[in-house]
Amino acid sequence: MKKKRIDLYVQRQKAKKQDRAKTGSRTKVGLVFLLLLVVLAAFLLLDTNRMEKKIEDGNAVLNDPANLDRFEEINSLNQREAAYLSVRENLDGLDQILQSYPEVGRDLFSHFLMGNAPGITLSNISYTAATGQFTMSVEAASYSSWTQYISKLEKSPFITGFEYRGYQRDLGRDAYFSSFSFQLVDMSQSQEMVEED
Amino acid sequence: MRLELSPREKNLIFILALLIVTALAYTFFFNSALQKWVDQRAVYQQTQELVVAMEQSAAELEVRKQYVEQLREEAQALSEGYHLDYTNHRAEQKITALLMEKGLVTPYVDVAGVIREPFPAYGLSGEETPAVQASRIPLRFSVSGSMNQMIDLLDTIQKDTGVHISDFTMFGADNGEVGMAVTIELLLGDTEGVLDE
Repeated sequence: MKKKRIDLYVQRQKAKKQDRAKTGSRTKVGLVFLLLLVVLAAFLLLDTNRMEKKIEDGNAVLNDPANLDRFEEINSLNQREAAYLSVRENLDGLDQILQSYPEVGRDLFSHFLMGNAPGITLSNISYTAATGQFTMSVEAASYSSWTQYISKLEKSPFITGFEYRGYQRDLGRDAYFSSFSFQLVDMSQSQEMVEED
Repeated sequence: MRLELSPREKNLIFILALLIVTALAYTFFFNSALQKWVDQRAVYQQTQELVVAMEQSAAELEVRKQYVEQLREEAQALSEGYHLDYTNHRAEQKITALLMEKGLVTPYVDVAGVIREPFPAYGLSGEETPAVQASRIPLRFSVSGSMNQMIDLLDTIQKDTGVHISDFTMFGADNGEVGMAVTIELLLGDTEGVLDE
């Protein structure tokens, strides 16, 4: 009976020890947790404070009159840059479009008028840029001259859409004549095509 | 009477205590501190970006000035040859002066008002072509003289960058007196007043 009591006492002492150990670990966990909260709180406070100071410094730089003037100048430069780019783009486009049209100058007329067989007369020449349509009346004093001129038109690099539909003949004068309508070629494009070939 | 708690109950009470501490800390401190930190961080980042952009722009100011000036010069160079600020009267004066210079007499010069429409690139019928908005003054006039004079006039007009030959019709043959009606457009070279600055 006495031994049994002693055993119970020992067991109770053991349980008390275990309980104390558990209480100690809970205290440690609790302290670590509190420490974490304190560290987090300290970080939030200090970092917020640090950022406030940096913002103040930044605002001081941004609101500096010299910097504000410079900022205004930069804005003005940006606006001018956009405007000049727009003008450049527009004028560049216009220039390219103008250059796309066939040149109706001396070279073109020399091609039609010069180096022809004798007795070739051109009349009623007209041109419309919007369609590229070029029309003219041709009169030849002989059949030989007529044929040579038609061959020249057929081989001409200046024109496209030329379709020969015969002639009318003035039997009294033995003259050959007809009107032709074709389109002028954009020589800049045809030159590019030749270069590519 | 002493309250005896089992280890499980003690653990549960400990966890409850931690939860209560966390909830109180969040409610009375972390909620507002965290919100303030997030807000400050956004302002801070924005301020820093502005400061960096300003410092960078300030460093590049001279280079940027030179670039914008170069753009202005390019736009200016492209605008040369066009008829900026031309009025109907000035357009008519230009053509009359050209005809007088060529020794040609015209019975009329018709000037239409300024038009601002898409100016299409040259395209043979059926082709879709690009276009740019271009202000221009259309003029129509007629002249008479030798074929050579007509060709010379067309050649001179053709070489003028800011003039586009819309159409022409020649009456008569190349071996005699020729009459010609011409429609041209004086391109203003739209710069929207940007180059005046």
